Amino acid sequence: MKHISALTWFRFESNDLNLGEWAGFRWHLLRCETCRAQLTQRAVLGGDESAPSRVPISRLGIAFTAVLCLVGTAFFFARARLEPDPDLTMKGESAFSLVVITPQATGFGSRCAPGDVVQAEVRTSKEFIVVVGVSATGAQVLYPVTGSRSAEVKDGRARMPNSWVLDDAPGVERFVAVLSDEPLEVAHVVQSVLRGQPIAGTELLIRSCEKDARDAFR
Amino acid sequence: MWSRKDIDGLYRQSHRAVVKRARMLLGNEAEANDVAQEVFTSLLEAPDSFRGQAGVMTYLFALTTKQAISRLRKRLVRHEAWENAVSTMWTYAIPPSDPALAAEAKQLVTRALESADEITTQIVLGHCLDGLSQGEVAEVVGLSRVTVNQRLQAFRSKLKEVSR
Repeated sequence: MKHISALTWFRFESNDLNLGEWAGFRWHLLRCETCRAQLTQRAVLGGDESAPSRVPISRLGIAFTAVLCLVGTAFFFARARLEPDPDLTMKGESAFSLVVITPQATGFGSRCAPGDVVQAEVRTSKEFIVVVGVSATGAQVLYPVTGSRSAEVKDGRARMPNSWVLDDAPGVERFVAVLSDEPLEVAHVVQSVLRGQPIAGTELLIRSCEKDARDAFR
Repeated sequence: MWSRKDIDGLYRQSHRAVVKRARMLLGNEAEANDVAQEVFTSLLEAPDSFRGQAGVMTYLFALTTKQAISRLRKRLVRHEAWENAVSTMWTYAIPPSDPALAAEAKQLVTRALESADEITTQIVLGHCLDGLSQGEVAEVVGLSRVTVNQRLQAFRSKLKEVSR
C-alpha cells in the first residue's frame, strides 16, 4: 500500500485538497495505521496540542463507508446544491448549510442514518469558525480538522474540506457552528457547547437531525 | 505574477505547512521558522518566480525543500554530522517496509545531501524520503519523468561504484 506522500501532507496542511482528493486521503487514513500515526505526529510537530479530530466510523464496515463516500462524492458533484434548511438556526447574515449525501438523495432533512456523509458550508461575515458535532456519544470537533485554534473564514465563506460520516449512535445528531470575530480555543468551544453556555461575542448556528439506526446505509 | 495580496493569502494558507516541512528536514524549530521567513520573503522579492508549470502548493513545497536543504548543507559542512541529520529526517518519514530497501533509501539520502547537486538531492529526497512517485518528483523539480528516472538511476550507479 502506498502511503500518503509528503507533498499530499503539505497540501492537506495548506487546506489545498479538493473534495475528491479529500475522499482518497480520508479513505487511506481509515485503512492505514502508519499514516494515522503520522497525522498525530505532525499535529504535535506543528504545535497543535490536541490530537486531530476524528469522525467515528460505523461498526458496520469501513469498506462500505468508503464506497458510500465515493458514491456520495460523485453524487455531490452531480447533484448537490447547498441550500439553507427550514429548521436552520440563523442570526444576522450568517448561514449554515449541510448536505447529506446518500446513494439515493441529497439534502439535509429531519432524518439521517449511520453511514450518511455530511458536507457543510458556512457563509458569514465573522472571521473565525469551529464546528462541533454533538451526539449521544458526546461532542467532537469536526472543523478545523487539526489544531487547537479556530479556523479562518476566507471571503465570507467556509466550505468544510472534509466530509463527515455519521456513526451508529442513536438519537439526535447536532452540528454546531460557532462563529467569532476573534480566534477561539477549540477546547473552550467544545466545553461551552456541551454545557449549553454560548461564549460571549460568538454566534451559534445549529443544525440537527434525528438518526435512525434502522436506516443505516439505506 | 503574484501580487502582495496573493502572497499574503498564500502565507496565511500555508505558513504552518511550510514550517512543518522545514522542521521535518532540519529537526529544529527555530531554523524551520527562518526557512519559512526566507521562503515567503523570496516570493515577495521575486513575485514572478512561479511560472505555473506545477501547482502553487507543489511550487511552495519545492521551494521550502530547496531552502531547507541549502540551510542543512551549510550547517553540515561545518559539523559533518550527516548521518545524524538523516536520522532526524527519518523520524518523520515513512520508509519502505522492506528493511533492505529502507537501508538503501537512507544511504541514498545521506550521500545525496553530502555530495549531489541541488536537483539530484531534491529528486532523491522526493523519491526515497517523501514517498513521491517519479511523476510527482518530476512535477516538484520541474523536469520530465524520464529525466528524473535517469538522474535517479545515475546517482544509484555512482553510489554503487563508490562503495565497491
